[in-house]
Parts: sequence; C-alpha cells; structure tokens
Amino acid sequence: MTFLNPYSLFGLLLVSVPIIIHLWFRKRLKKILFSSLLFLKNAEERRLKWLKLREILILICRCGFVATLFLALARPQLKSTFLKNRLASVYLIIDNSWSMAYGNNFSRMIEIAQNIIMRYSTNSEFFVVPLCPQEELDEPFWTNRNGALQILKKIRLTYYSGQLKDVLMKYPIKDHRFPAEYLYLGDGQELVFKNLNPGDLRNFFWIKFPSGSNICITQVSLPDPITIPVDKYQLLVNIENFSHHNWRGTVEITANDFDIKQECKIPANEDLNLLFTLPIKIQRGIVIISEDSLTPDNRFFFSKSIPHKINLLLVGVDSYLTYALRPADRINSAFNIDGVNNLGGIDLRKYDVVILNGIKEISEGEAVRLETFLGQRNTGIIIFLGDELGENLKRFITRNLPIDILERVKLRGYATIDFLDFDYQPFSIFKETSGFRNIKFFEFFRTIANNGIRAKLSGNNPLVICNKNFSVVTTKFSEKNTDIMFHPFYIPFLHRMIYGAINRNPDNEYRIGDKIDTTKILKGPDGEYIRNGGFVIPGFYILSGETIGVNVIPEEGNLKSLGEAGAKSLDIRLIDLEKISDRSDFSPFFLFCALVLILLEMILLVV
Amino acid sequence: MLQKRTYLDPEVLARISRFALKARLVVEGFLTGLHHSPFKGFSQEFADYRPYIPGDETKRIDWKVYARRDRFYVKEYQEETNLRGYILLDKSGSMGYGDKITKLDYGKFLGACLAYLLFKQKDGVGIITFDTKINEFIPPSSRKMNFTRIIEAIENTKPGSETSLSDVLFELAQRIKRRGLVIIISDLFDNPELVLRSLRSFRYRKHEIIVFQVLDRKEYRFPFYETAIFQDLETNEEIVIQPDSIRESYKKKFDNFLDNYKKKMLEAHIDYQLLYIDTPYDQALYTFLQKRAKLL
Repeated sequence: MTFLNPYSLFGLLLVSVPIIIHLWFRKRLKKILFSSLLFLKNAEERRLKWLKLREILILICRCGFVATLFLALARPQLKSTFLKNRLASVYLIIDNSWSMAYGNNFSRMIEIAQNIIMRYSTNSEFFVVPLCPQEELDEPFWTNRNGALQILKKIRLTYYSGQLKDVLMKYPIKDHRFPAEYLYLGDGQELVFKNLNPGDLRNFFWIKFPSGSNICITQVSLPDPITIPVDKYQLLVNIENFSHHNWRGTVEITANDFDIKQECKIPANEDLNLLFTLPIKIQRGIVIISEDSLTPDNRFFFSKSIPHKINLLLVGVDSYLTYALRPADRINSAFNIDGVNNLGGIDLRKYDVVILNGIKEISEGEAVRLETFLGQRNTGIIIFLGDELGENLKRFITRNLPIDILERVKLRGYATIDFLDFDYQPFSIFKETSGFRNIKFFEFFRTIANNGIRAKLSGNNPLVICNKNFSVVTTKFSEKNTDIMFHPFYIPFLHRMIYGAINRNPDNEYRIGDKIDTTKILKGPDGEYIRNGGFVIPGFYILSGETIGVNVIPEEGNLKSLGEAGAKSLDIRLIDLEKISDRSDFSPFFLFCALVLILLEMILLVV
Repeated sequence: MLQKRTYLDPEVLARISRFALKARLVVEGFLTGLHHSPFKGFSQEFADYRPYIPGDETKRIDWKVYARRDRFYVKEYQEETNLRGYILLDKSGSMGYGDKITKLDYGKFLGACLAYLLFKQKDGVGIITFDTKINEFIPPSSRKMNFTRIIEAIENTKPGSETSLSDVLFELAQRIKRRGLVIIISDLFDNPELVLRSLRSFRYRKHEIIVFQVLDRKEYRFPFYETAIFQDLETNEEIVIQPDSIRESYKKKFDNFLDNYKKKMLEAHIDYQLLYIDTPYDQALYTFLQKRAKLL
C-alpha cells in the first residue's frame, strides 16, 4: 500500500490525544476510599462491567476516528495486479464510436488501454483495432507494446457506430504466437454486440465504461402520405428519450433567416413526434435540441425535396391503388393518376411513372415502348404480378431485372414481410417500425434474385425487387392475395416505392457510414471535394449538385448497455474499471470508517 | 469539667488520648446513668451461698451458717462464678472507614469499655484482634496486669488488610476450649452464610455470643453524587462509579445484607446489635449487661 499524501500519517500521532484526555479526565475524578466494593460490585455488577466496557469502547472509537481520518487524508492506494506480466497475443478493440464522447470516457479509455498494454509481459504482442473505421489508420497488424501504444495515440473518436461482429469478420485473428485474448474497451451498447451468438467469442474480456443517458433526434421526415404543399408544409421531428428521467427542453429549427422553437417534455424511455409548419422555401435546415450528455445527436441536418406532382399511369385500374395514391382526405395529392386497362394508344411521354397492376400480358410493341420509357431520365415502372404472366411480359421483366420467375404459390396459411432493406433510401423511414410482420400475404410468384431485393417474405421469397428505376412486386395488392391494403403502412410503403422508382426521394438525408455511388461528385461541409470516401462528420454535403444532410446513426445514442447477464450469455468476462485502474483509492473507505466510528461513539455516549 | 455522661458520645471520646481513661470514663458515665444497677451484690471476696450438693468439697461448707440454719451451704467465690470474656476485634481494612472516627476506632473504644467493665466485675477478659488471621491473642484473666496488656493491645491496633472473618472465627472456635462469652466487634463484611456457620460452631461449644456490627452511616446511605473512583480499603481495587445510577440497587443489596444477618442471628440465638459509629456506647454496654445478667 502506498500513500499519495504520506505526511498526513504524522497525524496518527494525534491518536494519543484521546488517550491523554481520557487519562486526564480519569485523574480529575475524585477518589473516594470506601470500606468495601463488595456491595457496589454486587449492586450493578453487569452495569459496572458495561460502563467499564463502554469507557474502553468510547476510547477505541475516538482513537479509531483520529486514526482513520488521518489515514484517509494520507490517500492510501493499492496497486492492481490484474493482467500483470501476462504473456498473450492481445486483440485489443477500442470503441471509438460517438457514444464514447460521453463525459471523459474516450480519453480515459485511451489511458486505461495504455495502462493495460503496459501490464502485459514485454514479449506479448498486440493487435489494436478501432471499433469504427478510421481512414488515416493503417491496416491492423501484430505489434509489440511500443507499437501498440503508438497506434493507440492515433485512434480518434468518430461519428460512426460499430459492431464487434463486423470487426471480427473483417480482421479475423490469425498468425498469433501466444494464447489469444480479446479485450474490448468501451461502453458496450447492445448495438455493439448485435448479431453475435453464444460461442462466437472466446477468451473475451470487456472493460466496461459508464454510459449515461441521452436525448436523441431519431428522425426528421415529411408526414406520409406526402401532399404537394402550396406555400407551407409540415415537418415531423421524432425525439427519443433514452434516459431514465423525464426530459424537458426546447426543440428549435433553424435555417436561413428562419427560426422556430417548441417547448416539449418527454417521459423517460419514450419518444415524441413534434410537428413543425415551415414555409415551402425552407427545405433544409438544422433541428437542434438543448444540450444533454451526448452532443452529436443534438443536431439533425435535414434536407427535403418537396416533390412536384408526379404523373402516374395506372394500367389495370384498382380501387385500392387509386385510393392509396390519391386519398380522399388529402386535397393536394402528390399524384395525377390516369387509369387505363391496357397500354394501347397511350402516349407514355407525359407520365413519370407507369404501374402495371396485375396485367397478364403485353404486346411486343408495348414492351418496346416501355423499355424506351425506362430509358428516359426520372421515369420509372412498377409491376405488380397478377395471377398469370404472359411470355412477353415475363421476357420484358427478366430483360430489365436479374430474376428468375418461377411458379405461382398459393399458401395454405400466410407469409409476412421478414426483411425490409432499410439501406434502400426510400425504405429507411421504416427503420424503427416492426408492424410489417403483421401484414399477411396469401399468394405470390416465387422468384429467385441475386440482388436488388428490397423486401422479402418469410421463406426467403422476394417481395420487392428493384433495379434502378424498375421495380417488381411479386404479387398484386388485392384482397385475395394480401391484406396490406388494410394496414397503416400500406400508403407510405406504396408512396416510397414510387419515389424510389423515379429516384425522387423526398428525404435527402444520409447517415454517417452510408455507402454512396463513388462515381458521383461529393463535396464536404466545408466545400472540399471528397474522393473515394464517405461521410465522416455530420453536416450538409453536396452530392452531384444536390444538398444532402448527413447525420449520426441515432441507435448509437441509445446508451443501453448489454448488462452482466447479456455478457455472460455471450461468454464475455466483464471487468469493472475499479479492477483495471492502476490504483484503488482507499480514502473513501477510511472516511466511511471514521464516520461510522463517530456515530458509534455518539450512540455509546447516549446509551 | 465534662459531665461523665458526655463520655458516652464517641466523638467526644475521640478527643481524649488515653485509652484506659476513655474506657473508665465511658463505663462510669454509663453506670452513673443507670437507675438500677444490674451488678448489685457482687463482691471481691464473696459472691453468694448455695445449697450444698453431694460432691462439693466439705471444706467449703460455711459452718457458721449451718450453726444458724441447720442446713449446709457452700460459699461461692468470684473466681468460680465470673465470666471468661473474649473480645474479638476485627481490624480488617474495611474497619478503617470513617471520617471523624473510624469503625475501628469505635470498635476499639467499645472493646476497651467492655474489657474495663469485665475487669471491674472481676470477670476474666481477653482480647483477640484479627484480619485475615489472628494478630493478637491475650487469653482471659481478671488480673490487672492482663487488663493493662489488653488496653495496650487495643491501643496499638491499626487497620490491617483484607478480612477473612469466617475463617478466623472458625479457627477461634476450635482454639477457645473453655466456654465463655464471645464478643465480636466487626462490620461483618464477609459472606454471611460462612460467618454464621462459624458463629454456630461457637454455639456448638456452648459459648455465648454477642455480635456488635459496627458500620458508618455513609455505608448505608451511600451519600455520594458525583462520578468518582471508589477505592476498596481492603484490596485497593478501584472502580469508576456514577453513584446516582446504582444508589437504589446498592441500598437494596445493603438492606438485604443487614436483614439477613439480623434474621439469621436471631435464629441461631446469637445476640446481635447493629451500631453506627455515631451511636453512643451505652447502647452497646446495655446490651452487654443484659446478656451478662442472663448468664449469671
């Protein structure tokens, strides 16, 4: 045991003070010579014993109080022996996701990582990997202690989110000389351990850092179904309170010469949708919430494209589709719809989108016209496969989409949507929803597709397959085939499919880490050209001349840790920071003892 | 000049230095106060006549009385009829307790007075002082030289160490063969059961016993109020005591102690007199004389 303030130990000499006072008071007591103590002892033998004991106990308490007080002031420290001189090949994963910006977590983590490296034997080797990608870092490699310390110095906090599974798959451990040990340093959110299964990890230690509470802007969207505004439009801001206490604060939208605020209160672990009415000229800006423990998600850079009216040709008229695309309660629908039963004599040039709804067959001439239509800029075709599929139509589909269309399946029961590709920009708004599993599908065409699948039914059956501006839905939305029309997600789902088909997404927003077409020109928030890179920091970017908003992944703001039971289920050894810290400070313990002793003395004096 | 009666007050007596004088003053003061002397009829040469019993020596027959009354009478002389008095004085440490006079001082005066009284009556008187063991043993005798030795012994008695009253009494009971009057002056601070057992052994040997228990009123009332260190006069043991917290309990125990002695002494036909050191000596002397009257 060492002492940070050893001079305070001289205070221990003061332990003699209570003893001296005790003896002095005892000396001051009058001495009475008495014939015999026989009756005095007999009178209260137990009480006298207790009084004598009490006197000693009080003296001990007083001496103990002085001793523990000065021991506390001397700041006693005990050195930790955890991992001391261990010889191992250490796979060190440093959590540099933005949730580690909480308090001084990141800097402390780096310090502790350095400390841990120095604890291992000098012959140990280290493989230092950041949890989130960091471009300026070289590919990780096995190195000695000094090399590991150098890499640690280069690791920076990022705006990314990361998962252990991705890291371990990207850099599988190999060529190690000693028994391998994995060390993960971080807050260990559930997101970090996502997709890991029991047995995936061996010899895995997690040095846990505290995670706080957080208020997060999860989404800023246009309310569905989108209508075409005249002079004002509405913007929906979703804020989630991931903390265990109620949050009261201000939500502000700021843009050029425009500012609007709303006060709100969000109960713990709940979310709130706030509706803002903005002038149509303000289509990009920043949503700001008042400060809380994590700042990256306190700002949301939104960039909306309020769509123009979309001219839509519906071939195969259907009341469910017509209603969905032009709801009766929306006076300014985003769609102008022309409904026909076949393509004969229709001039496709005046339309943006053509929907073939359950059409059995098309002529070869119509197929040519449709292919020409597809080749135009900002046009798209969506085909809902009906009960039967003619050869010309099938050929047209397979020419434009890499799929094999097999037989039509009529289920005895039903299938639900098992997978929705949230990376497909139009579908990203459904990220937080799980209600799709309640939608039933009874009949569909079985298809095989290698890529472009945006939605799948249970049994690995593609539902929506897209290739650029051509989309195929493997069933027709009719009462016989599905009940999707009676579901609240029906209209948003359909609308998003149409926006996707013509590449007119109203939400020009991306998340940090999203992949973009590298052929497109990307300019960063400061106007710099970004080559071969993605989004690194939140802000407004310019992608092929269009302003986009880039924000952090909101799930990272949910600071819910995996917990001890969760770690145990994944065979992870959870290590407390106290154990890893170089020295344990015993001052609080001694202060506590001093407090207990003084309380004990008071009790003894009263008794 | 002080009235003789005044000398019955222990405090006044304490101021007089000569022990023999003290004893004389007390006894004479006491006797002067009595209206009817219980000693009427005793004499140096002759005590009484009693009818002749076969076996008496014929030379003791008073022929003059025979001539007058035609019956045999024998003379009884003082040597045959007087008591053998044993004064047992406890000089243990606890007897040294007291302010103006100690319990031992009181006991010494009382012992001297009783010795004087016995001596004056031509009774044999002896003294035994003791604490844990017998310190002084002067066998009973009615000679003046013996009385002088007794007074000297009493005068030189100082408080000793611990007491072992029961053991000493038991030893004395074995040692004193000839029956007599055993006068015990002590505070009886010992195990009452053991003390009483020892006293019963005196009774078994046909001794008559008078017990004077000498106490200081402070021992009974316990008039202390401040927390203090109490030191045992016998063992020098010290304890810190808050008198208020234990007074009731102490007094209860002390009462039981006294009551127990009183009751058990009565049961054992032992004369028992509780004396506080401010009690005039005549009470003790009166008890003694009553007892003696019964014996003669």
